[in-house]
Amino acid sequence: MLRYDNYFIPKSLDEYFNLLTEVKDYRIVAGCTDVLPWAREGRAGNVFIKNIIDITNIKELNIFEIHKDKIKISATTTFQKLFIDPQIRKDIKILPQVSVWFADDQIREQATIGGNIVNASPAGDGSPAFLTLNAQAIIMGRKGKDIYERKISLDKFILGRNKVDLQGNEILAALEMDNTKGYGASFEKVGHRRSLVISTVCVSCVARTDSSGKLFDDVRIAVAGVREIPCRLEKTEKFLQGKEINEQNILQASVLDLDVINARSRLEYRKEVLQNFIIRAIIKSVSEKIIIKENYFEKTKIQKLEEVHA
Amino acid sequence: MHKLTINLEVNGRKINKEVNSHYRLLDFLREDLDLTGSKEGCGAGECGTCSVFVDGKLVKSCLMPVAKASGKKIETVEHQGTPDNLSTLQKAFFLTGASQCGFCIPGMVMAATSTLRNNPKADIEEIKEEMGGNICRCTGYQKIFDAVELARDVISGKLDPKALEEYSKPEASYLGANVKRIDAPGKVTGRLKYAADMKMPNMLHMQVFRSSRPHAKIKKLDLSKAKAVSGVEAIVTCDDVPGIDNFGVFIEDQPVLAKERVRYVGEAIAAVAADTLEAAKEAVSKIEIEYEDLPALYDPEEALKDEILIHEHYKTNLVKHIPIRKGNVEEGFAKADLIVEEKFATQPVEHAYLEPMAGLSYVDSDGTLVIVSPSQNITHHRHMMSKIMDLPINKVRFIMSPVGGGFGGKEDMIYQGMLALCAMKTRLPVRYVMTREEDITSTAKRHPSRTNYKIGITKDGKITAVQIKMLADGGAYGCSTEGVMRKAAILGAGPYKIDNLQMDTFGVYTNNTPSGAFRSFGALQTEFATESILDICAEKLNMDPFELRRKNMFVAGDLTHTKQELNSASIGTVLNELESLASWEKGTPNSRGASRKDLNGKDNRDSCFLGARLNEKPEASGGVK
Ligand SMILES: Cc1cc2nc3c(=O)[nH]c(=O)nc-3n(C[C@H](O)[C@H](O)[C@H](O)COP(=O)(O)OP(=O)(O)OC[C@H]3O[C@@H](n4cnc5c(N)ncnc54)[C@H](O)[C@@H]3O)c2cc1C
Ligand code: FES
Ligand code: FES
Repeated sequence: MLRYDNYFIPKSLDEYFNLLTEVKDYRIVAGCTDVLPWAREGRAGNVFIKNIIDITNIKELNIFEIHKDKIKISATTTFQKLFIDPQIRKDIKILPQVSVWFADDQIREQATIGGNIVNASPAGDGSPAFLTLNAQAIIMGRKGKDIYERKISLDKFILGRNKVDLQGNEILAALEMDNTKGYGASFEKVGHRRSLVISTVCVSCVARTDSSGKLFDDVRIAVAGVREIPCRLEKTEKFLQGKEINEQNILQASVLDLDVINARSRLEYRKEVLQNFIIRAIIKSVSEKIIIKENYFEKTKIQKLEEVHA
Repeated sequence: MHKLTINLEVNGRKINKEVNSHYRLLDFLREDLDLTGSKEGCGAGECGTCSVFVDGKLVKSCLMPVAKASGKKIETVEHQGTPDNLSTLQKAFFLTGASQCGFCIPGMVMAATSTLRNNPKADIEEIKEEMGGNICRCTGYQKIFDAVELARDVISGKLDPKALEEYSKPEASYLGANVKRIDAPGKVTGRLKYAADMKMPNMLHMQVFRSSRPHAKIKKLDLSKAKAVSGVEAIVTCDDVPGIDNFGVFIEDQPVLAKERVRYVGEAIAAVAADTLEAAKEAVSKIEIEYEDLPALYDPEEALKDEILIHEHYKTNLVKHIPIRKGNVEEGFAKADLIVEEKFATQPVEHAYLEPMAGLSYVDSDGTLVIVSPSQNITHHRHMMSKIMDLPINKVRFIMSPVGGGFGGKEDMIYQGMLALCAMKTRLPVRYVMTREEDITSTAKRHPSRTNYKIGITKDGKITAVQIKMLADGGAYGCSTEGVMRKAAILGAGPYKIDNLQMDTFGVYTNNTPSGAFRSFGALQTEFATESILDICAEKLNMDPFELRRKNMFVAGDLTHTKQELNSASIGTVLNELESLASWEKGTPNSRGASRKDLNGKDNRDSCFLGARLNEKPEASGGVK
């Protein structure tokens, strides 16, 4: 049970930073979907924190900008917003795709992208998707009376399990990411069931072909669930750059980064799933037809993979 | 306790109220407004029994601090309809029978309402996806989905509202008929009160201090700091039991609260009753204990050696051995063409009823001790309680509150004794509601088992002999182990004619979580071994598994394993039905037929995907420069 004496909902950054100077024992929260389940038996148990500071009403953090090349959205944006926003759906397809696999409709109404990133669970689904959008974390802090802002790429911001690069009174304010208009996208996830599930493996992919539709132009893949920090698959991405879209190339690419896996359990299983996910994610992101329904890679995998390994 | 003032609208009512500042929206609705249609199945966002609308968006109220709800409009299941004026969706749930224990149903109604509000034309995939955050443990999802589709079609005008009244009129038999469930309106509207929903004036809250050790002597128990917590009215231990301190479904071997020794992690040691839940929790955290650890037993094979005894006075760890002998197995095996020997193991399983354990106890004006709880065994509980509390049986009353799923898990009287002690000691009503985590750690599980199996069979598939030895881990206390061993022995060899059978089931004590009743009551563990080994035999004999079973199945006139003559046997009908429903292609179990495929074959389910509401199918999103 989480107990607290005060629940503050500051309306501005000034009010927020002022509060931080006034109260000592505090925790900031956004959607509370990580914090409340954490304060239960078997995890943190009964927790008392004198002050809870809710950041979801800070007016400066109400950012939702979609520009031609970049988008900038606040850390307090909910995953359900990413799921339903028409423009996002149209242009940054990976975001609704990760959202549909994220928790359920109800949790998504509360759960924020900032909470997801800062919580930095190795199984978190948001970060791999944001990584494929080359996300930059925008951080705000206050020194004396001056509010400052710094920007750091998301892969540098996440330092480890439950650890991110936030100092002193800093807050994750927003994410700046590529507008991937014209890119295909695919989010692959597996866990013990379909809804409300922690990722055992998840893969995010955004990609596009060249104008002929025959060559890979830009492929970006990131994984989570299989290691402490999510990461991009650089060798795979580089290998595919400019290559012809065919079975052989996809299969060859799919094995190049399997050593990113560094999990405590079910290694072989994760490896097999990860490879299948990479293949599927690439195919989905560049195909216009529903190839998977015809069981494309299930067939090819069994016959062709040995050749690739050999 | 610190308070804050909130201003909000609940079900159309404007409310301005001081509340406990740390309350979640769910606590506020249930405790302050008595809107108990929203339930707490897990408290962690996983089950959806607490779903409510906040400014028109469905959220899980167990994950929302009440402060966040200030200034918002809340809508709960109580706003959706009343038992005499059901909403269309509620009528549909009523008709399709989508309300078994009913504990998940208010949340389901809310999730369905949200789904159809978001898209009145939602198709089945969309319905499934959007209701994915709500779980049901007993109705199953089909009837629920049927209800939502029915309501959708009525709302859209595709179906006449009369469709919501199409119950069958049972003539001779109720079997297979869709009769009106008289309890459904109370369930679909969230009006039915389960134990945790009940409240009485001056009611205290109970919390339990539990063992962190699997096997230990209690050297010292210091309650002084706990007693000093403001609001604490009573703390009870085994010393407070006035009568004979033991209970159990078959063997009465379990004390209400641990006596001198703890035997499993999670065993109750002391119970605190306080005027608030928070005070009771705080007091529990201040109880001090010193243990002297004892060597512990986790393995039932080890337990059989009796080197460490879990209950010393029994001089053995064996709870029950049930032997069955029929014919002569040696002769039977001699006649076999094929002998197969295998080992099988099953794990403990949690019942996961959606309603965590809860109860309320009070002493009536005439001195009668009353216990309200979702007990699956109230008469037996009443008898045990009368001995424990040293009260004449007419001074003990058990009231069975609606059971939010039990599956055998609510047969043990594991918390009612503590409630009774607190109520008698304080003469005030006392309520206890377990959290999901507490329920999982402290209540009985399905018996984990290990089975050694030997079967003899002829070339043409006739079973000649079966020898089964099953060892079950009963955990720290007897609970239902004896009965479970009996059923495992009687039913385990399956519905097959076996002339030569040697069956032995053993249940033993260990320091694991107690094992208890769980539907099928032991038969599952041994029958799992039987059916598996029959498939192995079918493979080895190159025979169709249905065929093999038909050759051996019981028919009227056969003697069961315990030698009762059967007047009728239905296994043949069951096999036929199964074979056709499964679109089974004849052949050995490990063969693949010509027309059946692993994927996309007839009657095979499509592989699972999410994204019914995305613009394009997630299978392909096609990015081109
Ligand atoms: C039933 C259930 C299902 C879930 N399913 C998934 C899933 O499928 N995938 C997944 O990835 N996660 C899942 N989660 C986890 C959780 O919902 C997400 O991690 C969510 O995004 C957390 O956001 P929040 O706003 O609720 O965080 P909060 O709980 O409010 O905060 C989490 C942490 O981040 C800090 N924090 C929050 N915002 C900021 C900020 N802007 N700056 C600095 N620090 C901040 C808080 O101090 C806290 O330590 C699930 C949770 C539940 C309960
Ligand atoms: S989801 Fe809230 S109680 Fe289970
Ligand atoms: S009816 Fe759904 S849990 Fe019982």
